[in-house]
Amino acid sequence: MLTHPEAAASFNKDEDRVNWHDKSLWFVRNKRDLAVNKIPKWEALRETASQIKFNVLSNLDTYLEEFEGKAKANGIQVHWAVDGDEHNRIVKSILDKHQAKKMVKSKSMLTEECHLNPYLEKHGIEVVDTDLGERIVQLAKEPPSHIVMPAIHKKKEEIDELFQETMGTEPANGDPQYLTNAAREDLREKFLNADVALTGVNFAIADTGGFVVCTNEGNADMGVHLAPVHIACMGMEKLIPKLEHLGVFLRLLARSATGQSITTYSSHFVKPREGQEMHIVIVDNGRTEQLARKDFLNSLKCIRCGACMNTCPIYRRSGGHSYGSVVPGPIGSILSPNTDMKKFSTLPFASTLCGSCSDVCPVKIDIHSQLYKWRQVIMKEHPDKLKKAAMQVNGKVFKYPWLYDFLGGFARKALKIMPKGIIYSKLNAWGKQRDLPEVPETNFKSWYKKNRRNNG
Amino acid sequence: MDSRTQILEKVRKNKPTLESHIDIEQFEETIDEGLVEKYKLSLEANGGSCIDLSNSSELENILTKEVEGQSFVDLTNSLSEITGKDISSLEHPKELAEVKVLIAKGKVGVSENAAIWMDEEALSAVRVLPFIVERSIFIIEKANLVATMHQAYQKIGALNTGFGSFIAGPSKTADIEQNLVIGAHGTKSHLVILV
Repeated sequence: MLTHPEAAASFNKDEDRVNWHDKSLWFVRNKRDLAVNKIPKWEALRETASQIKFNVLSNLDTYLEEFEGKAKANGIQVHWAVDGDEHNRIVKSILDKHQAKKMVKSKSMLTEECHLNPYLEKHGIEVVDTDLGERIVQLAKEPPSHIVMPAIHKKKEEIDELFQETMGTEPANGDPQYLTNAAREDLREKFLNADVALTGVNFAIADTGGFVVCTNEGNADMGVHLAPVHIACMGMEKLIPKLEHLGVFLRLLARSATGQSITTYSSHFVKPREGQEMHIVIVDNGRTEQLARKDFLNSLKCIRCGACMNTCPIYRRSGGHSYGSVVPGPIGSILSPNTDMKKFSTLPFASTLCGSCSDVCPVKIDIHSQLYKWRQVIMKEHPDKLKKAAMQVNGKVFKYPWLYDFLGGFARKALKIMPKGIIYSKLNAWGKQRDLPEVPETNFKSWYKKNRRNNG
Repeated sequence: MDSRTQILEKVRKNKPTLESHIDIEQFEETIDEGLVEKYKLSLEANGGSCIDLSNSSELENILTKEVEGQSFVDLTNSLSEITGKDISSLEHPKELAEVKVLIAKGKVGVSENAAIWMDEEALSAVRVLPFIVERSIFIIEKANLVATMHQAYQKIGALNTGFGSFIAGPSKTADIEQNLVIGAHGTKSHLVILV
């Protein structure tokens, strides 16, 4: 796997695309601001959401039990999975029980995390992603590059070509209306003929034993209300204590995500419909580990709105794929090292620590502080030898003023006469996309001595 | 040890003890002013359209014009001249695939986002209805509009339903280069009649 800097460098080879990507995301960030500024007490809403999530994390065991009890009483079957493998096996066992061969799926980052699609496909199940963005990346055999807008990295002309190849559509110059309609027609058949529909869970409510799924496209509802079996997969942190708390979260979610006042559909599932089977799979997959990390457990408050990605100057200019993790961007960079610190060791460094992510987060996760904290942990456990050596040399230089003066004078001369090829060699990471400033004749110390000390 | 016990034990061992103070009441003050106007603006922003009916005797006329010549389901019994598809003897929700228009009565409308609460009672237990048709027509009494989602949940109270959805407009997507397209997998158009 490429490190973040390597993958980002590759994305940055096409400057026009980077600018286009940057602008697309900033457009969404702007819409968020417009929506948020209309709401009185927005900050109080964020604070309340954060408090609710603190309450959930501190009482997660009792809420899980309460939720399970109520859900079962409502006629829903509840399953528990310690990791992604167990989650996948549970889903497959439900499919097997119904001899199901066709499954439609609405967006679920959790199933991406567990790599459910390849697992089921290996066993001969046809899995169809039905969110348009997810369908696009599924047809292109790519992972999503954003958790809310999975195909944000793709240009409409590319989607046009992709649909021509995979669905036999007519060339349409990337006309979004035509392409969306083509996908609608194609997927309608899949909805009508699916054996099982799988959805994610936006919120699970302990005191009702029900759960809420939010979409704009209506794809989750089209799937589950037609299929004889509904499987809902949730990370265990998706719980909230009470139904009335949804008022807080549904006001925050869509405004933070896309600048809409609410998603088109916020569907509350409490009981299976007559003749239908409903299952919930509660998944741990490393979440209990994160719960024990005092510095990082805040990340479990995340409601997956994607606002931190849209605002992040690094995400916007490096693209979601550069992170190499299921959840990219700032929140992904604090979630992923929890699952594999070595593999994701460069992610906490993919940030300017500007703090914009923390400012827009609807549940007040201190994202940039956690990125900083991960850096401390990672440098201890997986030290970057070059950086470490450089810091040690720096330490020595700053310790001895005479050495600092000497090297400063040396550098000022050397930088003037050395060829560019040496100055901008591989060792100079800073100079990769930047020119060094013009070298001054003298340092500040000598300048001060000459101009100020005697002249008052 | 089964997975359930394993997970719950690990949670008990690892869970933090964080102080929390949850105050929902601060959002629950009732606002009654300008609810209709705000509702209309929110609906327009979501891509829906609105008819503000001052004279409810016009309702049947309007609805007749809306559904004429199309297959439709009317859950409100507002039409005396024409009859829509009978859903009482439905064997599978698939049978609704060709229905074009749904007329239903909403229970609670939310001004801040134009969402209307549709539960099983409002949908005659046919959950797929408001998603599978091309056009939805929701009728809602102005007296049932509330300002925010907080008031909406207060008004709904305990969930005495197997399913309910806040529906705020026609289905839509912006997954192709952020271009808004109305009509994704659900409805292609959405009309709310305020009575």
